[in-house]
Amino acid sequence: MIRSPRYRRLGFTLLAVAFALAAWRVLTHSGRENDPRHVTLRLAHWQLEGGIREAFDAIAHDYEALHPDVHVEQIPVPVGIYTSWGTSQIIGGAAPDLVEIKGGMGGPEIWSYFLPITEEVSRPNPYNAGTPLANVAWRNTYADGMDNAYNGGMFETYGASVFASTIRIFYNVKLMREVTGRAEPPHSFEELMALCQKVRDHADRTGRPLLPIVCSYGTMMMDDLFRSQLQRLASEVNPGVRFPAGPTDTTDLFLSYLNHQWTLDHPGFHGGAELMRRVGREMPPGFMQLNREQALFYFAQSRALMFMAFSSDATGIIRQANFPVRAFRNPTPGPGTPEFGANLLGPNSEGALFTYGLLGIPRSSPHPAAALDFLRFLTSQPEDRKFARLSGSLPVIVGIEPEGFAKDLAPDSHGFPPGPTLTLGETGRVVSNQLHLLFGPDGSSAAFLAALSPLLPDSMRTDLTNGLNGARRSAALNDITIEATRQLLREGTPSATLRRKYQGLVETQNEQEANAYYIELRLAQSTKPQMYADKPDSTASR
Amino acid sequence: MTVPRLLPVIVACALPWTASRGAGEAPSPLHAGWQDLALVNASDAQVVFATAQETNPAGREARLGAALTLLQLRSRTPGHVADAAELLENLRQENPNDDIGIGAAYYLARIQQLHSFNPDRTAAVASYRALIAAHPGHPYAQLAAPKLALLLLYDDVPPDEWEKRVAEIEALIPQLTAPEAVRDTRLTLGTALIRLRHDHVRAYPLFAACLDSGSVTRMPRLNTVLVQAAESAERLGKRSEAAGYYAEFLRVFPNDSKSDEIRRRLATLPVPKPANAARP
Repeated sequence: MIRSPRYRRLGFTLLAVAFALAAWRVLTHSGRENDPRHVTLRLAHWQLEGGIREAFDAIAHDYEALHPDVHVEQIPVPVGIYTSWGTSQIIGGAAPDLVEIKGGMGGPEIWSYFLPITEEVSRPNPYNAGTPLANVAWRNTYADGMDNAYNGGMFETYGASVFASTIRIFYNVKLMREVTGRAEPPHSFEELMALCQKVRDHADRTGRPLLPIVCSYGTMMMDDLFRSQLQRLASEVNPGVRFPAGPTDTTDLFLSYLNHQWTLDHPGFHGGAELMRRVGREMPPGFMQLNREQALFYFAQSRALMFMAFSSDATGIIRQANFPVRAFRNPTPGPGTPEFGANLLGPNSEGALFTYGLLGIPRSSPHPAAALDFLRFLTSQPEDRKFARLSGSLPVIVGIEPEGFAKDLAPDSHGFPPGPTLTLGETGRVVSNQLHLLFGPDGSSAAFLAALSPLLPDSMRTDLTNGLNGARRSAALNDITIEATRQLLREGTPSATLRRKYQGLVETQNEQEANAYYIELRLAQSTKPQMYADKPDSTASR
Repeated sequence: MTVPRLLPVIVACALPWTASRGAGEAPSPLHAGWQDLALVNASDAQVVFATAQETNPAGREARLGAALTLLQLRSRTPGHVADAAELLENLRQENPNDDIGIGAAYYLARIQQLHSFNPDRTAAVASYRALIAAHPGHPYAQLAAPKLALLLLYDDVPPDEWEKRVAEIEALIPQLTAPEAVRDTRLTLGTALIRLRHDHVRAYPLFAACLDSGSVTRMPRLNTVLVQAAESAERLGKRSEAAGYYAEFLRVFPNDSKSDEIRRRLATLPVPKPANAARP
């Protein structure tokens, strides 16, 4: 035991210094917090991909230089706990000034906890002054017209998105040369499969542990392949138009299945499962459980030639790889391919850029005006250009051409819209639970589909009923919003935005109710085939 | 006489007008309550309407607001719905012919159709029919028209009964004056004709009328209706009209996931006439 008074004095001195430092930090921090001349804006998000926190910090630094009375702090929260964390913050009335809104957070009335900025997005963003977007409404400066921020049920815009992403296959150029003798990526699904075989041959020949491809996020990455095979089926069962209804709209696909218009033996469904199985075979065992960091580790260690990931992962990938990296689009079989071609009508179109990462202003925000101002700054053209460059996310604002590597990540709108995803809701859970029969050592698409067959009707019914109940709940809420808007329109000189809101709310509600009654009717018909409805008229010209 | 000399006279004349205009534009005491309800903030609205009723227990607008607030509560129970129905019934019985009384009748029908924990479609249909017959042209009767249409059409009835219902709705459309009522009744009928009967012959003119009047305001809806109209026109051999709607789709949605295929379809059709294009 040390008994020397010298050491004891040193210990006490160190303790006193540490205490003084801590006290100084607490006092200056709370002093700043309580100083009415200073505003501390807090921004919570769950995007922990490489480059994003640095990009937020850089934009915050620029903003603080313009507004010395404002300090911007980001609160990055791991995705696993973000929903519950965000829900408790919002419902408890203690949310930060800007919150990235995530599905499942706050329940079905999530929007009632956030401030609408519908009027504001109809006016130009002042931070676009001096750019070609100076006089353009904030909404129209977005590549997707702020679709992601717009709530159709409420006819209001809540917050602004800051990210955009596509799915791409990144590859190790040096390793590609080593395996194939060239740096070019595969251009078709068949070429991709042939490349995977070459990688395995190379690994056998050299004794080097090398995998063709890795991915994180489980089957989300392979969903594109599955959906390509649903193009024709989803178009045929859509009674409205000769296109699939939408990327997440499974209504008519499920209703037609429950009404015996198709079965799991359908070549499209079978083709989708088979394509996933073939790509899954090229992944490491247990790839479904790989998280982003583990998958990236395989790639960065040159133990996998390709890494299927979101484009927003690009910065993290490039930083960790000590070799040149390029990216290409996940190729799907072409319409002329013998085994799969009949199920599709073209390559999957990625359409317009889809933005995400919606930053909303909670009603409980202590500084809503400053939060709105920072949001405008963050999504101005000059700052979005900077944000995209630093974060690796695709730009969300128009007029910013992707530079360098980002050119390979931009969305490709050529082709035909894919069928809907089967990764969501109860059906998504049921499908996910059977994937071991597809990807396991003795897996096959036949075993996978045979196991799904008895489970799908109930899961589809659950999803349709949930959708039906959600539409009714939303229509009921809208009833009161419509009347309130009508009453506000009667007073003084109503704004054009309020008039548009009224028109839009009425239109939305009638559409929601019609969809709900349609689902109800078709669901009832699926259990009572003797019903009258949906018997095509003899004069039908379809 | 110069303008500066006239200025005091102008100001004196303008003052009473300005004052009366200002008073006319002052928000009503219930403005805050309606604003809260517009933003789905029922708990604050409840306070506003309750305070207004304390001041003026007979005030009909505050009682309407209080009834509707009960229907927007997060923890809505059958008791809340019953209380709302009672308040609305009282308003309707006191005066069935003023704006509030007609509104109360409309929301009683909405409770029967939607808000009740045990909805009654048949009663809702009867209430909407009665409202439309008693007050044709009134804004609430206009709101009721598409509701009646969707209840009648999405019902499992024999084909001849369904045709009678279609005829009832077709007869209703010319009586409607509110643009949103005309649009939504047409779209409800047109969509049901396609979904349930694959009947493009009768659906196409309904879609075309909505698009040509520029009344479809929601972009997701416009996206679908433009393609629906184009495809129906194509099936009916109206190739020029089909081209017009496809061209309009590409103008409004140049980067949609459907755009590439629509460009391909458009290339096989005659060059569209600008007059056919919808004006969203």
